[in-house]
Amino acid sequence: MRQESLEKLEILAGAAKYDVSCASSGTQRENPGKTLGTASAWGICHSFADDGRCISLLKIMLTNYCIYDCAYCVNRKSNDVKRAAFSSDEIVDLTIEFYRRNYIEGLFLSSGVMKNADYTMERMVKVVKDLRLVHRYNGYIHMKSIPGASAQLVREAGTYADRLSVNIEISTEQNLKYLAPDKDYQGIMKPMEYIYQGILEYKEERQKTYKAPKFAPAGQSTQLIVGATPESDKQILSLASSLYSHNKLKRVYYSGFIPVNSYDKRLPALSAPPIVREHRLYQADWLYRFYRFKMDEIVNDANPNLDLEIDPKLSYALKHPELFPIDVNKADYEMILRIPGVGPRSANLIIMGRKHGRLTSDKLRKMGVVMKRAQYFITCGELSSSNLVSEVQPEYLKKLFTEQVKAKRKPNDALQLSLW
Amino acid sequence: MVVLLYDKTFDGFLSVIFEIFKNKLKPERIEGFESQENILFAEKISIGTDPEKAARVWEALKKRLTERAYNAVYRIHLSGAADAEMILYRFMLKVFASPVNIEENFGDPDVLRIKKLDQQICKEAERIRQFVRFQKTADGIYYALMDPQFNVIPIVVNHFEARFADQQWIIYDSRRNYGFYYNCEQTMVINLSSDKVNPLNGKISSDILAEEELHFQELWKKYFKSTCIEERRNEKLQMQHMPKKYWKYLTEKQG
Ligand code: SF4
Repeated sequence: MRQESLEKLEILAGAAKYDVSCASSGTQRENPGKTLGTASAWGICHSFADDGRCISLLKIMLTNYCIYDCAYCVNRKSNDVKRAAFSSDEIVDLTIEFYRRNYIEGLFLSSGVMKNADYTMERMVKVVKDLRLVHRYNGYIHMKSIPGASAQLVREAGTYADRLSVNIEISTEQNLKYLAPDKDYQGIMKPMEYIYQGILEYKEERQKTYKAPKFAPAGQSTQLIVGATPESDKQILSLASSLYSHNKLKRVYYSGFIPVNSYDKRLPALSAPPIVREHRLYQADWLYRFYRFKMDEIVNDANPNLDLEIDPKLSYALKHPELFPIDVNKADYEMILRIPGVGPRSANLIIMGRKHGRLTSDKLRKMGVVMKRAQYFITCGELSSSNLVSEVQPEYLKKLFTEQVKAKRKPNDALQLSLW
Repeated sequence: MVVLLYDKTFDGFLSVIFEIFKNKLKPERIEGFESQENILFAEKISIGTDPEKAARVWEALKKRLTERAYNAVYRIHLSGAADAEMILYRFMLKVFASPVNIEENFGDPDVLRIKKLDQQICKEAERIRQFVRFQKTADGIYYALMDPQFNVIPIVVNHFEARFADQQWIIYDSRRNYGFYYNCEQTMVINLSSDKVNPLNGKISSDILAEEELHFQELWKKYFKSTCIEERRNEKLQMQHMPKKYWKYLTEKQG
């Protein structure tokens, strides 16, 4: 019995791990009485796996049996892998016991497709429903919605889960058809639409009464695989920006393709997952969401792919030397955010700090500005202007920065770069 | 040189600040009564705790600072950071000398120092929320040992009270040898001397563990391993987020 549950956990956690989302933020759920669990608005990472990824949720599949045959997935039906299935009680039990020990923030439940989409969804919904209603569990729940699931089940899932997600995986309809012939684009887009509608209605009801029943209060997210198909970064990022603006998604995750089924000739042969490209996409996504960049300032027809050697913000700055140097004592917040080496936190400190007196490069450094980078793009009174980007050739600066990075970087080290 | 001595409580510290302003003292150190430092030629002045004086200083701080900043004063004092009192004293001199709120004047080294120190403290408090690992005992108490650099467990008690409202728990500070016990009604400060907890790895001896406890530890370790993507192995990144000094009490990092 014990051995069996260890084995099941191994199989079904291993099968679920390729979903990169781990966020547990975006809901604030207070404990209504003497029951178990809260959800904190910012989300807590409880551990970090040996791959450096945050472990916040018990990320697990109900089963890895699947009737579909998606080329990029370990669980596809034509693969000869160990299969297992949890009962809903087993998952409920694991979630609660892990939660009580402060191992996790909550549950992330996904599943392979059994029989059909609705049959699978019903079983998943039972798990989250039991957690909420029978066990009065208030921790975080993220549930995947199965492509093709009916509106009614998606609705029910949304009343119990904090976040719902449908993974698009492949950014263009044509390539999706090619790699996942059992899925159709509409089957993915429809549940996203149901979720979007549910969230809209919930928000409206909330205006009328504070007590309106919750619906996926932490919103919805999706995942796009990068590097399994030939889409450009521009194609991927335009899809992402339309998901953010039209479908009001909370997060789009990018997952560097891991060649799990190398025998399938529809897939490219990669020696390692494209981790640097994935990292650049996240940086671009950040520029879009938090740095007030427009997507077409980051990628466009002239430059459809992100520069792998330098981050997209630096790349933007080097393409636009006419905007620099920026005077940190005068420029507005938006421009200060565009200085390489300045993040939102130091940008705030700059805006607040300069009210009390002129900023010098020494003060900037103390505020967390990376002067090694920023010095070429700013003036602050006493900085000499001899090596500003407008005076030095952008190509020269690019060379300088890539060499600095290379000197620091050992092979395989790309992820250790912090976001900027 | 003047050294001020007090009882190490927060009210005591605020009383010290009160006396500093009233009597125009210029201390070079502010320390607890029991301070071992014997400084030659130092004039030592003991200052008693006076709740009324403390309240007046606190109210004055509240008028001049935002909530975040006056709470930072409390957290920094509580943290036991080296030289915390003098850092706070220098900050408060500036707070009270200025007609406007100076908490965001980050060009000033004393103000920036407060901000940075508070960030460090809040970060460690977050690490407690992240890395507490409860072990369930036979009598149903969930126990966790922690070893934080700063005294931050008091800051996170209400997080754990709210989250684990229906279970009894203890979070114990091995470095300062005290902890908090929540009994589903209220939380109490406790001192425990028990040979049932191994201070090296935080483990509770198996004879007082709940029956299923070791099984769930095994499951958690299994999960920890299984969720890692081997193709992306990156121990440096792991250590950056989860510094090694926290590993000794982490169930998943124990053999
Ligand atoms: S439907 Fe999901 S689990 Fe099944 S093969 Fe496709 S991606 Fe894998």
